[in-house]
Parts: sequence; C-alpha cells; structure tokens
Amino acid sequence: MKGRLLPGYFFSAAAAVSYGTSQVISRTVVREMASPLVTSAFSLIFGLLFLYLFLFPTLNRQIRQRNTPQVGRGVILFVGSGVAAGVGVTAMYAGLKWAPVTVVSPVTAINPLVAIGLTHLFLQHLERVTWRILVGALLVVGGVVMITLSQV
Amino acid sequence: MDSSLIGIGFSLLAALGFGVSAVLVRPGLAHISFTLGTFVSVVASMLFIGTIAALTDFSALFSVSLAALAWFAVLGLLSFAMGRLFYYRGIARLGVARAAPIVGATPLVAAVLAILVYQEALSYLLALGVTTVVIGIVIILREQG
Repeated sequence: MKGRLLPGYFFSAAAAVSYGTSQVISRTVVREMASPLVTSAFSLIFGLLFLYLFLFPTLNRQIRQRNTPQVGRGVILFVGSGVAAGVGVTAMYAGLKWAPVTVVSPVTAINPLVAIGLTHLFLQHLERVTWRILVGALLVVGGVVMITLSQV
Repeated sequence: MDSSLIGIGFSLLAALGFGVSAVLVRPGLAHISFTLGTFVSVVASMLFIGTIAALTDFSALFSVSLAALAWFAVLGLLSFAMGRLFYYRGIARLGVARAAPIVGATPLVAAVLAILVYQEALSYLLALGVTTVVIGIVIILREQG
C-alpha cells in the first residue's frame, strides 16, 4: 500500500464509522420519534451548524479570498452533489413505501458500483478504474447485501 | 404496475443519486477545497430535503419533541459534520473508485455496532457478509495503481 494513500483510507473508514453509528441511532429515532424525512431535514440543519462552527475561520477566508469563476464552477458541482445525495435519500424512503426493505436496501447498496461506472465513463482523465478495484467493490456490495438481508 | 417494481425503480434512483453525488465531488475538488465543498453540498441537501419534507409532512416539522431535537443534533454531527466531511476528504485523497466502496461498507459498521450495543445475534449470513466485505476492502487496499 502506498503511504500517500493511507490518509485517504483513514478518512474513508472514518466516514464509514460515522455513517454506520448514525444508522444505528437513526433506527431508534425513526421508529419512535419522527419520520425519516423530518429526521433527515433536522439532522441536516444541525450538521450545517456544526460544520460552520468547526470550519468558521477556514470557510470565511475561502469565501472572501477566492471569488473567481473557477470557484463558481466548484460551487455548482458541489450543489449538484448535495442535491443528488438529497434525491438519493428521498428516493430510498419513497422506495420503502412501495417495496419491503429486503428489496430496497440491497438495490440501494449498489451505489458504489454506480459511482465506479460513472467514474470510468466521465472521469478517466482524473482517475483509473482497475479490475482489482472493480472486483473489490463487487465483493463489498455483495457482502453488504448479505449483511442487509441477515438483519431483516 | 406491481408495487415492488415501483419500489425497485425508486431504489435504483437512490443508488444513482448516491453514485452521482460521489462522482461530482472529484471534479469539484479541482476548483474549491473539500471543506467549502462539504459546506455547500450540505446546504444544497438541506434545501432539497427540507423542501420535500415541508411539501409532504409540513405539520410534522413543528411537532418534534426536545428529546428528538437532541438526537437530530447527534445524527447531524455524525452524518453530515463528520461523515460527509470525511467522505469528501477521502475522495480528495483516493479518488471516487477507491473511496466509494470503502464508505459503501457502512452497513458492516452498523452490523458490528448492533451486535455490540443491542446484542443482536450473529447469523451465518451476517458472518459471511462481513467476511466478504472485509475481503473486498483488502483487495482495494492492496491495489497499487
């Protein structure tokens, strides 16, 4: 493993731990306190407040210093990313109204393969999708489907 | 139409949404930092989901308890202030193809926590799933390209 990649693996694993912990907590919250969409909406508001508190000095400096068309392009791409994630969450909850979790969760779990496919199609100039990455991703998705099915 | 097919359609749309979300981050990082990018993306998600929640369940937004608000704060911290920030940082360092499957292994963490916290039983299927995910991640970690 190349040393330069280590921080990236660490941050990706930290993201999985954060998301995984929030999934366990949200099971109880959604069952006993509020609907999934209301929970997501309020969680996003609090998440934004925390992000602003954590990143306040950095964000203010960046917003003041880098007012160029390049920044505008970056903002548009990240707005697209945020909206796409919102579509993902909303569609997943809509799916659960029409089909059981045994169908919805495994189908939704293929999203890393979608990301890899789109990366291969549109981001070849930025990164390369190798066979080993594809096989690894297929095993992760397969395993996640098994984990999901074992819990319902 | 069979309701399951509609459910599958929405699930595929969800997978597409999450996939597109990750892929847009990579070119975005060429223009702005992952910190500003995370902030912008959480604002966009909040406006989108807030609007959908207001349109579909407006009264519920004003009937949440104080205890629920406290849990929402914990979820916001874990999912968006930490989870999304770490994910975008991971994409910045590794690229989408490596970071997305590792973050996609989130149910593995949830399953382990559920066993530890809620004392849920460890079935053969769960053990097989966990093993398969770990092998997949090891293969990705060993990729040198």
